[in-house]
Amino acid sequence: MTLRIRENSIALIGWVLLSLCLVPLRVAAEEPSADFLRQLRQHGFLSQADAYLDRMEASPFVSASFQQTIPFERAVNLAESAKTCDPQSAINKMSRAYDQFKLFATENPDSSDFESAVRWQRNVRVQLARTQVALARSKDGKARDQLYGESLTNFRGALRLFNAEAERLKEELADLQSQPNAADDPAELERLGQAYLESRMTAAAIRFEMAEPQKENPRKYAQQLDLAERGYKELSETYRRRVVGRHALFLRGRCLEELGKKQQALGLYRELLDPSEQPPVMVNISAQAAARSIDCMSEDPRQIGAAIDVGEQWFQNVKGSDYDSPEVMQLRLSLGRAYCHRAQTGGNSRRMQAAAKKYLVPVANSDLSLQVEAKELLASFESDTDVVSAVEITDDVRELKDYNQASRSAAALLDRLKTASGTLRLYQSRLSETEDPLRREEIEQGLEVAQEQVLQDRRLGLAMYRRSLELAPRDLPAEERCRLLYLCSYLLYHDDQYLSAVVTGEFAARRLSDQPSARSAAMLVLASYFKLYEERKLGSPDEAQAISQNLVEISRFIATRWPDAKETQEALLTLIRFMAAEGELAQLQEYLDRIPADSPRRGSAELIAGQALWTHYQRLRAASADPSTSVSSEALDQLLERTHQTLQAGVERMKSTGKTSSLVLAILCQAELALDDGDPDRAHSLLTDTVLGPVRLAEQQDRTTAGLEARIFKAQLECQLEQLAAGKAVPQREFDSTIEHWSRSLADSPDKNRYVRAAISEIRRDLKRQLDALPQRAQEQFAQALTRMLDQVRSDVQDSTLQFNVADCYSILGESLRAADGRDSALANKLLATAGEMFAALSQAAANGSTADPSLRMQIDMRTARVMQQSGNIDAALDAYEKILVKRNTAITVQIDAARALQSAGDQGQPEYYVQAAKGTRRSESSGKNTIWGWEKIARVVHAQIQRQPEQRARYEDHFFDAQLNFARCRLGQALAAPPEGRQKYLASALRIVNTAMAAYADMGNWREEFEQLKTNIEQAEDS
Amino acid sequence: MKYAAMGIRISCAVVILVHMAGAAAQAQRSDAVITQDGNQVRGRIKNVSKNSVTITAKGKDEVIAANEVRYIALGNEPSLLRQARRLIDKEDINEASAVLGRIEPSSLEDESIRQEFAFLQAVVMGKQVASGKVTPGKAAKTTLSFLKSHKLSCHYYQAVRMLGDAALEMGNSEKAIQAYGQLANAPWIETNLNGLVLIGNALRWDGALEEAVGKYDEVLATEASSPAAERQKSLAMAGRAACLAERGKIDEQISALEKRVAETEATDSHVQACLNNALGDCYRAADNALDAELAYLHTHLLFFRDAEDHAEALYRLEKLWQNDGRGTKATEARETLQTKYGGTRWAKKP
Repeated sequence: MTLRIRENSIALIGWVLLSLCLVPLRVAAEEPSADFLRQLRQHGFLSQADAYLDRMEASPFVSASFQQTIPFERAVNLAESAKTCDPQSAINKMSRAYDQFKLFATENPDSSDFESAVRWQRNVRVQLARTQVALARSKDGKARDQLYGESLTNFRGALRLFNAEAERLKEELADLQSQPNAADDPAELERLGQAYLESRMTAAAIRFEMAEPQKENPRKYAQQLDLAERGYKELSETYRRRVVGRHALFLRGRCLEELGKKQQALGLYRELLDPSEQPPVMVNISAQAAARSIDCMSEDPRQIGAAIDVGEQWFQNVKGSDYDSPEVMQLRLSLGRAYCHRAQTGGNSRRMQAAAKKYLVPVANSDLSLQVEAKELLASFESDTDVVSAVEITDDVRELKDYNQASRSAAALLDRLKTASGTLRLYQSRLSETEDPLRREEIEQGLEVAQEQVLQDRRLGLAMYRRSLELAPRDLPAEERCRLLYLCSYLLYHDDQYLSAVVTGEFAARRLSDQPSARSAAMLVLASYFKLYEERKLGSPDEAQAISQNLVEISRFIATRWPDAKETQEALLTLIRFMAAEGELAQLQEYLDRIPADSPRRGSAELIAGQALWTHYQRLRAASADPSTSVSSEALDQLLERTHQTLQAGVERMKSTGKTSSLVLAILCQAELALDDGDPDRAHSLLTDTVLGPVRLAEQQDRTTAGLEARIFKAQLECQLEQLAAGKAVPQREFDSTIEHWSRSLADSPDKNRYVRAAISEIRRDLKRQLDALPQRAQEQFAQALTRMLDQVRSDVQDSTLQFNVADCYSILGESLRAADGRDSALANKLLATAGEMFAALSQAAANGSTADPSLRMQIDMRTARVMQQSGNIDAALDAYEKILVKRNTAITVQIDAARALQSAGDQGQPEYYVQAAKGTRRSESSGKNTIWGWEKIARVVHAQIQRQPEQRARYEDHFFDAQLNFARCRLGQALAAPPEGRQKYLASALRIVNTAMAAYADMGNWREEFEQLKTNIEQAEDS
Repeated sequence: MKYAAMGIRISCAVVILVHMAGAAAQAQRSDAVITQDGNQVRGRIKNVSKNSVTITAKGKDEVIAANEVRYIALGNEPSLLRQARRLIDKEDINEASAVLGRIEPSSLEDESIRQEFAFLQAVVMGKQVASGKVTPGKAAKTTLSFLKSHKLSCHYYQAVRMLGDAALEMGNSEKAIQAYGQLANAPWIETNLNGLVLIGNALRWDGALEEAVGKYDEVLATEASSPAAERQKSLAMAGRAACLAERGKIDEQISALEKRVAETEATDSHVQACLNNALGDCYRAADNALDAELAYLHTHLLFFRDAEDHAEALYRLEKLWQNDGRGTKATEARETLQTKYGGTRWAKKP
């Protein structure tokens, strides 16, 4: 028994306990917003909860206090969503959630959610560490060490938080107890006491869990366990009679076990063994102690009898009916396992097997993750009829009294099933070809009858095969027996009973592996595990992990047992698909290498592997943009090279077999890779190859490109853009044709709106970067083609978000063209005017309240301001800024944009705006203050903020330097526009501003250079 | 020994006195009228009509309008009847049905008790239509029989509405509209408005959108502004918006509905559900599936008390999820719809 196995359950105990006491104790809010969010989360609608928060952020219909808690609620969503994703994503999400909770707690110490945020911080951090440990177990080498290291950092952080919480609660308790009327509030005393104990328990659990990551270093490992054991000892001795004390006693035993002090551990467990007259929670602790006692004792074959006695005694003593708790199920499993050992090593094996069965069957039938082991144990000594015991035998099947009769009936039924399945397929294909509604209705009715028939025949077939196995003579040839089991497994698989299909198929595959049907049975087991894995990977990640191990195990079995069979390569292909989906690239390569180069499967495997590597590369490259990740450029280059080679090998090998969807997809990946590698010519030739070019095939609407069209034409578009950027000519009609095909492929997609929305959003995201990379002429060419597409989209959309994105595309195009071509570009003017028109309509809709998406309102005003500014309409731009700032006067980034707009108007020959940029404008009638602050006030406010919260300096100092620098520039601008006699005061003021900023902050980073340059400019102006 | 004997005698006397007091209390148990706002008026019911109940309390007659009566508890009614009423009030309809089943109708001698019994039976049946336990035809028959036998019951207009609901579930909008039309005869503006809203709903279901909007507009144009009338206006607003959304007209509907949702008490589940469902329809018409989903989810997760509203939201969510490729969620919604509201027209709608 390794620490890992035990660790799972102790982590579970810890987590359950933690959940009991530390699941955020938010006071139920009265607003439906809070209730709605809670309900959304409870029902797993987490992305909807995020979308809801987006809406509420700008909604006038929720309270200000709720709006303040939105960052907190977002963090809760993130933490909740981590529970249902793969470990790596869970780690990323929990890390982000942790940071967000921390930020919220720092920024909102007076919020009613402050305590909840701190509590979440603690919980998330400990859970983050646990997930890192769990993931580390499946890795090796550096990856594992890194995860273990990170988990220790998080465990230590969590431990500090829990210890601090325990201290705080202790003080609070002491305070309360010292008050004369303390006894008046026993509930509060009880709550504080309970919370205090729970914090201490969790701290002890963390110490225990910190042992595993240090296992490589025996001294540290033992020290860590020793620390944990002492923590539990203190708790168990202080609170001997309370549940927490009993629980601590049990966990102390676990520590001693890990330290190798088994006898001492058994001594502690003994104190807990009697479950009689105990409340359910104590019964469960007692069951855990009994299970651990059995497992400990069973390690010594001489003690198995005594171990069995412990379990039997427990079940004799227990009163009440709560026999289905996970703890009691674990005990059943331990006892069943002990009986299995006894059956293998001692005499009287039939009686031992019967006893084992008694305890294992309920576990196998439960929905706990323990069922996998229970089923395996049962299968290890069950007969062939036992493994199909899940199949129900109806009374009419029971009428069959003779093996020959039963097997003949089963065979006849199998024939009928084949016919019914054929009919079903026929109906399905007719349905897909028929459009006439009357005819469709007729076919649908036929389809329904055929489906029912197949279902009934399958169940009946299963019952008959089970009956055949029951009636089979002892001397039934093994070949026939194996065939019957394989057919049962086959029918179970198609009846979606995957676990039963595994048990039956595995019996045939392993016990009767010499028989011809065994290989097919093994393949069924593999397929069933794959299905089970898919089913469980979201809901039960732990179980999915166990299943994935079984999946790998059966694949290895197939590869070893039948190394030359075609099934082996099929199994390896399945494994490659699995590893590709999981991103396990090292293992993927290992399995790929095991398929011989001359195998017909090798090419397919390379195509799958190549695509997986390409997806993985793209993901890693995206992650490498984040400075907190440690993806080196060498690692990326190596991965790219490997991807290139694998795809190339697969494509070369598969070219001779003719075009297939998989091959076309691989060629598309090659083209994307070439684009990424800065080789648009190669991408172009791959995409437009006359035989296998995805673009050519998609233009001919070849079925191998079905579902890929949008991606193909997007690659082609990027390719043409790259060619333009490299100064090559691309005929306008080719460009137009690509955009037209792309638009059409989006419109042809099953959900046109979704794709158009996604495409526009994608164009918008990359547009500026793409435009900046193009030479001026190419910019116009691209802008013209894209404008045609945008005009088309614009004409038939109502969705305000989509309208917004389209308008934004126009404005980005207009801005870029203007930057390149100056104020006189007719196309730029037209684009900016269209953008302005669209934003104005959206702004009007927002003012009427008929914009579907309220969160867009502020963004619309911001964009309107920007477009107006670009169009040279500074007053309209200021109107838009004012509109925002009236509602959110302290929105610092908006204030900065407004000041910049004013300054830019000054730079463009209207110096009167410099003074407004410096000192602000748009005086509010009610407050008498400027709504648009100007640089001076921005600098003052930001400086005060930094003084108040020095820890926030990094966040604000750029704003401060920016504001000071531009304040001084405005003064310089005023000076240069003033008559010579009036210049000096502005120049002196500019110099003073620069000197003040430089004196206030010694460490100015890159800003110093800019200030120095400005100072020189001012001095030069003085001299002239 | 002496004291012990005395003790026994005293105990016996106490027991006898307690029994006597109990019997006296039982004989004198008063009738009670419980009003919509939860107040109780105890006394002896003197007169009942379809418009009011007159109860004599402390020597004075008090007239309570029938639309203010939540329920009546008769002093001499069997305790099972009382228990059934309590269960209906708690929406435990299946249990209420079982309790009513234990009452032997022939044992009910008093006409007013027979009337209450018949009414509760009709209510239970009406409420069981949604789950499919009772067919709408059977519910309609029971309600009709109650109306025929008890034309002067204070539950008259309630029963008329129930009859309309059952007819609508049977697919007979004409009969439903006929029944709802009778609500116009009630002396209370709120009930009249409710009749118009229900007619609008029936017309909407039949696809007669223009006419439905006309009915809703009538409600919205009324000058009554009591909380109950405003409630009906909210329902009319929801119905009108849903009609317009179906015709692709969503201008200003969304912001008006959002505002109304914010103004409506979160405890008024039915109105909230109707407004949110209508909001979902508008977002759907605006091709904004995400906000439509959020609106229907409000009904599904928060305002699900009314079977009809919840069934509608489930139906819409199923379609949205189906279109969005979320098959598992769509199947779950369909299963909930079939299991909980298999008898509603939403469960039967393709």
